[in-house]
Amino acid sequence: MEQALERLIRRARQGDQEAFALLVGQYKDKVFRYAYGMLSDRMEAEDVAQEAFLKAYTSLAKLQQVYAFSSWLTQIASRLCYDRLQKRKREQPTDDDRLERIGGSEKGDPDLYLDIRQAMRALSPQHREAILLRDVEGYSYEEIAAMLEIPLGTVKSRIRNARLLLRQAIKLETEENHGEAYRG
Amino acid sequence: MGKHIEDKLSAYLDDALTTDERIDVEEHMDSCAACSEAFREYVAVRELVRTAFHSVKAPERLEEAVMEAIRPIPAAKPSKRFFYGLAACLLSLLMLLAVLFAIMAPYTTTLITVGYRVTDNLLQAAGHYVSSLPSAFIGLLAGAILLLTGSGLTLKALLNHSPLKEGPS
Repeated sequence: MEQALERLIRRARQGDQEAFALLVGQYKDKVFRYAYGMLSDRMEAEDVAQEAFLKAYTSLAKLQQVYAFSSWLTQIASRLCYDRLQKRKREQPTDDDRLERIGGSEKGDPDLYLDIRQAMRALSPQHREAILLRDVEGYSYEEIAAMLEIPLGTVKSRIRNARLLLRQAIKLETEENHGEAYRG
Repeated sequence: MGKHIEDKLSAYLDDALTTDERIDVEEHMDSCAACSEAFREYVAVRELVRTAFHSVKAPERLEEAVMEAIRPIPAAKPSKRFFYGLAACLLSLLMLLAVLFAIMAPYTTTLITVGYRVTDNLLQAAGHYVSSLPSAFIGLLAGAILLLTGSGLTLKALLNHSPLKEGPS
C-alpha cells in the first residue's frame, strides 16, 4: 500500500498527470474535510482544496520525504485556510450569510452534526485546527508539531484546551437548540 | 480522592501519559464521579466530531476541476524547443569546424606530422610509467570509472528533476 503510494508520488513528480489524478482521488476527501472544518463553508472549502492540489502539483519536486505526502498536503491546505480567514477578517462578512451555506447531504443525524460544526465555529482557528488534525485525521502529536512548526508542548496544551472548549461549546449549542425546540 | 485531574484527561485520552500518571488518573476516576463523567464526555465528543466530519465528502467535480487546471502545466519532459536548440548547436559546431579546417588547410601536412610525433612520445611515456608503477595505473583507472559513473548518475538525476519551482505558499 505504502509502496504503491510512493510509486504514484514519484511518477507524479516526473510530470505524470495520470498518477497525480489518482493521488487527487485518494486525498480529495481528506483535504476538503479539513478545509471545510476550518472555513465552515463548502464553496470556500472546495476552492481551497483545488488550490491546495495545484500548489502540491507544482511543488512536488520540493517534497523531501515521499512518505510525508499526506502531512505536507495538509500543511499546504492549512496555509491556504489561514490566508482565507485573514481575508475574511479584513472583509468582515456577517456570520449569518455563511451559516446558511453549512450543511449538505450527509447520512446520520444532520441536526446533531450541525450542532457539532457550529460548536467548532465557536473555537479559534488554532483550536479548530488542533481538533481536526488530532481527532478527525488522527495525526500524532509529533506529526502535528512538525506540520505546524510549533513545539510539542504547545501541541499538547492546544489540543487539551481545544477539547475543553469544544465540549463546552457543544453543551451550549445543544442546550440552546433544544430550548428553542421546546419553546417552538 | 485528591484534587480533580481534568487537565490530564486529554493526554489520557491520547494515551500520552506516563505509567504512573495513568495509574493516578484511573485511581482518581474510580472515586470521582465528576472527573469520570468529564472523561466520558471527552470520549463522546471525539467520536461525534470524527463521525460528523468523516461524513463530509468532497464534491464530485473537484477532481475534474483540479485536473483541468493542471493540464496546461507542462510536464517535466524535454520539450521540442530543447531538441531544436540541440540541433542548432550541433550544426553551428560543424560549421565552425569546417571553417577552421579550410583556414588550416595549407598547414595540414605539418600539423599531422607534429601531432603524430607528440602522440607517439606520449604513448611511449605512458607505457613506461604503467610498467614501472602498475598500482598507480589501476588507481587512476578506478578513479576515472568512478568519475564517469558519478557524472552519469548526476546527469540522470538532473534530467528526471522537475523544472517547476513554485513553493507551497
